[in-house]
Amino acid sequence: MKRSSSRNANGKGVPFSANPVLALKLAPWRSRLVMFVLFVAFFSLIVRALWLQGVSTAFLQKQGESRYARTLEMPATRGKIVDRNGLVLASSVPVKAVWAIPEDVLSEPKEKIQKLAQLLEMSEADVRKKLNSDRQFVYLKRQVEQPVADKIVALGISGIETRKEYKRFYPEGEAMAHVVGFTSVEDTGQEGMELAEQASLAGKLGSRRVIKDRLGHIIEDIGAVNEPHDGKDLKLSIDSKIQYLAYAQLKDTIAKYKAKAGGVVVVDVQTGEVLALANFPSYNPNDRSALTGAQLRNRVMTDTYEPGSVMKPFTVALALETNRVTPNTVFQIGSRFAIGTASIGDAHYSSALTVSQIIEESSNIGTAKIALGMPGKEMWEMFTKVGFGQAPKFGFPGAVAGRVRNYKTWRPIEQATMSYGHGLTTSLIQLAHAYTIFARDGELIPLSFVKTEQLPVAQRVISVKTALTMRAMLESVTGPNGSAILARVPGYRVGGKTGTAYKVEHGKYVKKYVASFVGFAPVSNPRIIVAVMVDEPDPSGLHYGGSVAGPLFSTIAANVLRTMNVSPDSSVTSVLPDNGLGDSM
Amino acid sequence: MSWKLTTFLMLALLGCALVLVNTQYQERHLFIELERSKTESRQLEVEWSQLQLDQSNLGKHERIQANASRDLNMVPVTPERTQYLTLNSK
Repeated sequence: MKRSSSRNANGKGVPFSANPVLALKLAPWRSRLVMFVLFVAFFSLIVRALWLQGVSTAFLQKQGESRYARTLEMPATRGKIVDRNGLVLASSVPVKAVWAIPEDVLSEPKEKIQKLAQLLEMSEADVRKKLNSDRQFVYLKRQVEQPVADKIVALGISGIETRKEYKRFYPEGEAMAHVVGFTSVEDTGQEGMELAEQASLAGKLGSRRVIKDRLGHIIEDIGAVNEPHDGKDLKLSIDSKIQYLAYAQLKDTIAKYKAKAGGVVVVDVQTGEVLALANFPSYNPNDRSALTGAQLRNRVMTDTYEPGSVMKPFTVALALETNRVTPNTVFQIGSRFAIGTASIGDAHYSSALTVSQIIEESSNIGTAKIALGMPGKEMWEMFTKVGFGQAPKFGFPGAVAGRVRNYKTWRPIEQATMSYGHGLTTSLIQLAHAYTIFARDGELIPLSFVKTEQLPVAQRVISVKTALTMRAMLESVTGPNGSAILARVPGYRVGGKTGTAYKVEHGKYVKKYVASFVGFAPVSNPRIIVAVMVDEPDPSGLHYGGSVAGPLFSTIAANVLRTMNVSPDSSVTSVLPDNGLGDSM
Repeated sequence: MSWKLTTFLMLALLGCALVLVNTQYQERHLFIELERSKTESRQLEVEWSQLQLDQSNLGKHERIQANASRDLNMVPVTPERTQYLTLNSK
């Protein structure tokens, strides 16, 4: 009894047991020991908890994160390239790169590898050859389209993995190849506008840190999400319809005259936008496995050649501008014109021509005589002002400057030949650019490959009066006595200048030609400049600028004017039956 | 009085804890839904660019011209065969 009362904390509780048999005689230290052991146990738990929470917390959190937290890469798409009407010219679509851990794959059964090879469109031997490597990571094939990649994954071969990447598609194919360019498998621009605008087209990858559960579902974000930025879309000045028409007609012309190559540029006179830039030969940017350098070359931008008579209007415009001649000034022509020890000739004989006729009939002698009445410095300044021999600022990679030698080194014969486009080189786009001074009443306008919202600042080179006089002369080139009657466009007044230049090989002129025509339409209020160039038309057939490049200019200009809804400024013979509505014009 | 307050606070604490559990549960659900929607939006974007590409492919002038001249026997228009209407004419 006595003991039981002493065990109660308040000492006045109910007796533990009334039965003396059950009364235990335990030593008091035993209960204290139990108490102490329990206390120690709890204490050690508390210490452990403090230890985990306080001291080793960083280590534990790291371990936890490495098991559940993942950094995910957030993909960004490369911007699209669209034409001026919003039609897609280049777009990235996600595809898969299929890669393998060779050891694992090789231990799989033969038929599975066969199926894999079949899906990859490769021979089994090729697949095995790729797998026969010491490396731990081998690309089997890149840019595999999504449905195929899904089937490959469904085969369930161990060691075959896929990785997301992008493939660039070019729906317009070869017609647009030289303008748009292409990207590498890494989705970086290699050529054309893809290269020029790489910085703005390329997307910026984002990343986020997340916690994933056992099944791989994302549960929550840790920290801030680094948002990805998709590349900006690029709107070109190109009209894909005009581009296609220009390309198709260039292709036909080259086939017809058995030429080696050619190029076309169409420029909007009012805005300086390049509406079309076509080259032949071209290539398919979607399949570049058999790509050659000749196909890749953007002749309009990167090939310089001696332009020939296409340059004459600049010489004559300068003479008119400086009041040295009027359109009616008469020059004696004759059959040859001797300058020093050399002499120059014309394709057609004339005894005397006015300045207008010199342009109309494309007389070398006449142009040379006009040129020799002017100091070389002024001619050089004129050529330089309109951009010849100057590094172009078109925002297009690989555009070349051409070559116009400094006037201090000109000899009289050189000044004479340069006046009609020999002894200096330009590219076709530079010619198209320079012709804006005639089409725009004397102003030179910068060209653009990107659709512009506001009109660029034009720079005056010659007076309005000179420009209008030159336009009339250039129109006569396509007139009944002109050198390019085939360049006429039914329904429209057109003006322009032919060029037939000999090519230079190893410093000598050879019997190979570049036939060109640069012109504008309609003459009453020019809207477009079309420059065409045909490289090496078969010399045994027609090879003159007027007969080869003229008709090409005509068909392209006719189509472009129709596409742009430009109303005719010349009478057309109607074939429609008279329906009582009166004259259509 | 004191034990009443304690009980009340205990109950309040318990209630808060339960609400927290519930909120977290809902948050997870919403998060998963958000993720799913985001994936879907990406998927749709891809599909959209694919469709745009198809549109370009089908609307290619080369194809239109070939179809027009082959299947529909159409020929390009020329100014001679065009009736031009001028505004404000008689």
